[in-house]
Amino acid sequence: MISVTQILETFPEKELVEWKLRVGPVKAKQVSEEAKHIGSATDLKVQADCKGLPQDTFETLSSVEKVAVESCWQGWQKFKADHPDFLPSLTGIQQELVQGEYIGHPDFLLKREGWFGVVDLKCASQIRPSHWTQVAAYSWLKDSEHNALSLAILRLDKTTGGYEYVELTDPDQINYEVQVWLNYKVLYEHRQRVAERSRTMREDAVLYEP
Amino acid sequence: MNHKVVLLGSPGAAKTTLGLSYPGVEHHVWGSSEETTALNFVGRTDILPPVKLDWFDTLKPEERAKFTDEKVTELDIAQLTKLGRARNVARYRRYLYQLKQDLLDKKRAEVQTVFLDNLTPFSQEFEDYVEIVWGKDFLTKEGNFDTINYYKRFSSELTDFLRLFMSLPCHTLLSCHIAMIAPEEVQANIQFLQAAKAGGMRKEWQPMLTGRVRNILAGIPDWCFFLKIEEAPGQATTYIAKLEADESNVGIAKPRIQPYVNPRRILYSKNKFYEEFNGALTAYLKTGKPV
Repeated sequence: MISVTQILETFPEKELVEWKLRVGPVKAKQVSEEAKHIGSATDLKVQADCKGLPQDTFETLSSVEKVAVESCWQGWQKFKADHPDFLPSLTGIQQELVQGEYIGHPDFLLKREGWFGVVDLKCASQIRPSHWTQVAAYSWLKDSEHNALSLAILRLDKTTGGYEYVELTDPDQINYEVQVWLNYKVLYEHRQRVAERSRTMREDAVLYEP
Repeated sequence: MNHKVVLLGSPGAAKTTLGLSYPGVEHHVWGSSEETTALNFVGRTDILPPVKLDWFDTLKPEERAKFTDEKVTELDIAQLTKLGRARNVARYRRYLYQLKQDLLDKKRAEVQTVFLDNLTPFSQEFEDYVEIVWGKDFLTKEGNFDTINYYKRFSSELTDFLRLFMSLPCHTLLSCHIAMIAPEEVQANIQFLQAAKAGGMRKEWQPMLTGRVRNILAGIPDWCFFLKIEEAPGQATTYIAKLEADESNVGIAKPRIQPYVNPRRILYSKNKFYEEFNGALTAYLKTGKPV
């Protein structure tokens, strides 16, 4: 199965590539690993909170990572207080969505006027265009014929203890994001076909020609 | 939910038995006679005929004749063997592409699980595949073989292959032998060889694969089980799976979803692993409580 994140990571955003080139591979790897640890720990904490399960203490995290997770946790608490209708409207947490050979796990699925909405949790320093493509992909995975009624990103800040919640409800905007996702998918499929074709050509030339 | 699983363990750790407990399993045999284990599952009618590809079958009649021709040198025979093994890997990959398409088109409903058993011998054939197919890329201007570039290519090609395998729309399992080696951190130390000579150096279990793909393997599936058995005189053998690393198996036991109370010691019944694991996952996903 091909995951949504696998496709998006195949075509990284220009700014991200430039940043990696600027700081060098060692620093880039270190920062990415740290961000991954913070994101995973925050995800688990929030999920446990939504399910009413006991919290993990995350002993393996570094002190810097623990501080960042704590900040995200404060952001989550503020978000919950400001949006009391959020938890009651949840219909799915990390639910597996499958469409053909594509798979994804949105952080939250919500009930929205008889249909559904998608929310993804981020701990990045800003909401990036690819985040919208990702939630649009989840909408497509949930129903490839009819888009979600809302796409949203909840960004928990790693330093300020605050949050940023942005929701798209305009059907045209949502449709635009879904089309962007479909184009990513086509490009990925094309890339795979090209890679496979060149490999097959090479195999034929080396293995089967006299 | 399709299970994407890697089973790691020494020979005799019940990797094949565990894999064959999955429903509608098509066993892809690489190595020796792993398919014989299926005979233990008396009464099962959903185990499909094994797929066992012999590299010798890929040779043309004139190439086969060289194996019995005394005038042909051992070096030529070795080269021909590599060519046969490379063709074997190529045709297996094409088989998997066809299988994937058939599964997507719902043409092979009987296949619910594909089990590659075992990755260690397969990767040895894969080494020959990379050397034969990409060989020209590894020749330096001076005509030497560039080993560093070869292993980089080997690692990326095998990773690509593993991703293809795990992308099949059904349960996908692969088994792999393990070897005890020094951890990456120790190997990276310039004093590694001196420390090894002095003895007392900590070692850990790792997949028995060449190069960096050893470290990549665990990141590809959803679950990576480290298997072992405990035997005691007069007692039934205990089958144990670990789903969480400790310092003896860093990075080779991994869950994306962890449904067990004690993931470092999961006891399971021989021949019933799938039933028990699937039950644990279903219960955990429903209630959020480990079992």
